[in-house]
Amino acid sequence: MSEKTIEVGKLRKSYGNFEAVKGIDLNIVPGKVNALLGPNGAGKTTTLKSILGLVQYQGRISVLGKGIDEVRSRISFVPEDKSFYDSLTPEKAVRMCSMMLDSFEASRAIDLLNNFDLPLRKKISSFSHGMRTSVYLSVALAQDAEIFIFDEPTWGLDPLRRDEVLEMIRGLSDRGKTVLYTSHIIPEVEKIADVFSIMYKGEVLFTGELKGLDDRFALFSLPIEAKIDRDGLLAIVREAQSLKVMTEEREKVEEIKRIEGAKEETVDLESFFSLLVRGNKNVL
Amino acid sequence: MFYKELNEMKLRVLIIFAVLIMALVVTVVMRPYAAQMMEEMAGQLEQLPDFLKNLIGDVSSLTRLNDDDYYLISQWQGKNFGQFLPFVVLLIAFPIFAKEFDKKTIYFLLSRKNRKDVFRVKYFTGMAAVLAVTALLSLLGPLFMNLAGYSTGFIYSLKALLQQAAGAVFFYALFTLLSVSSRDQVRPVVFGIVIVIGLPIIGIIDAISWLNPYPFILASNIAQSENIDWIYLGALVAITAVLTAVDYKIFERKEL
Repeated sequence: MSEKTIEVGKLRKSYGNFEAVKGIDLNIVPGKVNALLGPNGAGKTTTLKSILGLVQYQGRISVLGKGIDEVRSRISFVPEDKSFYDSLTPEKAVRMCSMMLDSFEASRAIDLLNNFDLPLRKKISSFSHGMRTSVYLSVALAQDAEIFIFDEPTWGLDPLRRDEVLEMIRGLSDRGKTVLYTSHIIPEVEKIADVFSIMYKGEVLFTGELKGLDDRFALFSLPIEAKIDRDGLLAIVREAQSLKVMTEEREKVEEIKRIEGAKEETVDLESFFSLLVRGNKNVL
Repeated sequence: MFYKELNEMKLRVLIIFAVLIMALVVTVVMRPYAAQMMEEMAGQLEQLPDFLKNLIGDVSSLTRLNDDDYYLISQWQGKNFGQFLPFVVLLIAFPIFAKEFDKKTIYFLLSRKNRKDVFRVKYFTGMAAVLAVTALLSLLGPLFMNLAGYSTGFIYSLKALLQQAAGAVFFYALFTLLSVSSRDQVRPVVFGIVIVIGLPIIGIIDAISWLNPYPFILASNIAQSENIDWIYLGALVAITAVLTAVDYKIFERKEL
């Protein structure tokens, strides 16, 4: 397993006047499932496209310590739009990939296709959206790559298949592979990610480990009229009946606890994400 | 990747080939009747206005259709095959890049392969298909004529083939420009048809008639003077090289 995976520095990408990614830094942890979490339009897909050299960008990106063009054969990518060559049958698709890709394991692809209960000799054009996604995933997962990049991999899958796919992605990191995965579905990320970054409006608001979120951060619900100094707060959100505040500083926790009516709440990924996105400087 | 490209164009190329083989058979079968008809028509065609004569070519030479070599080069290379050659090239070229963008399968390719490799394999496989179709259909002309009992040499066909090959790769580079610039498959076809139809119209205007490569592709100079137009050929090859470089640059910088 390579120590260097994906390093992104000051990445900027604009489409006309719209700045989709605003100078972000990102370091992907090797051998882990790294999730890029954010609402639609946060800049996740643009970040992946930049990493893969599919768009022009400003900034520095290195993959496995090199430029992307030198390491493409060591990467497997599943895009948001999982359109595969639909004039082929899955069987022919596997044959094509065997000829085209250096690190492709045809037998593994066939196993995965069978596992998804896909007919091998029917044209992909006759498949449903979920079946097509399964074909794409089978082909991508059969690559003996070092880095797997997935852009919303479970979109359009039924709940059973979704869980199966998430297990497969989790299994990649168990085998020492590095995974970069985007999603806007929090429970999915909670299920499989080791490390996550929250993206919002082209910026990375937070990067850290998923484990122990509740130990590192404190979330409080305060009366709506409570007065609080914003210094030391990670996020503050005004709700209909209360103020929600989040901090990681111990002294601040003690200060908040002294406010009359303050109630401590559990920090899970959902509340953390919601507070951070709603309470970040773009909103306040 | 080469297998993939061949697999994708196989059906198109086979259909084109089958249709043109039928046209060749008809051309050979029509040999005695066409010569007779043309001789009868030659007198009437002489009365046409100049611009229509330009479209038809050398009207006086129609009387030479009794010559097997002349019949083949004028009716096959210069007509039934030659006139459709740009359409054949368009049918092969337009989906090579545009289909990948249209169907979004380009993500699969470009995330796994370098753009340079993708372009090289796609572009040159298409070009090889174009050249193979051009060469086979050109050379099958004299072969079919001889099989049908006529006495036809290969020398005119080889000369015409050289011009047609240069014309075909020029059109291929031009249509690839449309294919590589587009995100759907409709635009390159529509613009391609406009180009194929528009060029002969340009040819009507004397001052810019050299922009129309049809007379060169139809090998009318070979039918008349038996000589290859090396200057036009060289110019077309040079333009093709420039167009190829432009095609690559567009593909290299194209965002997904």
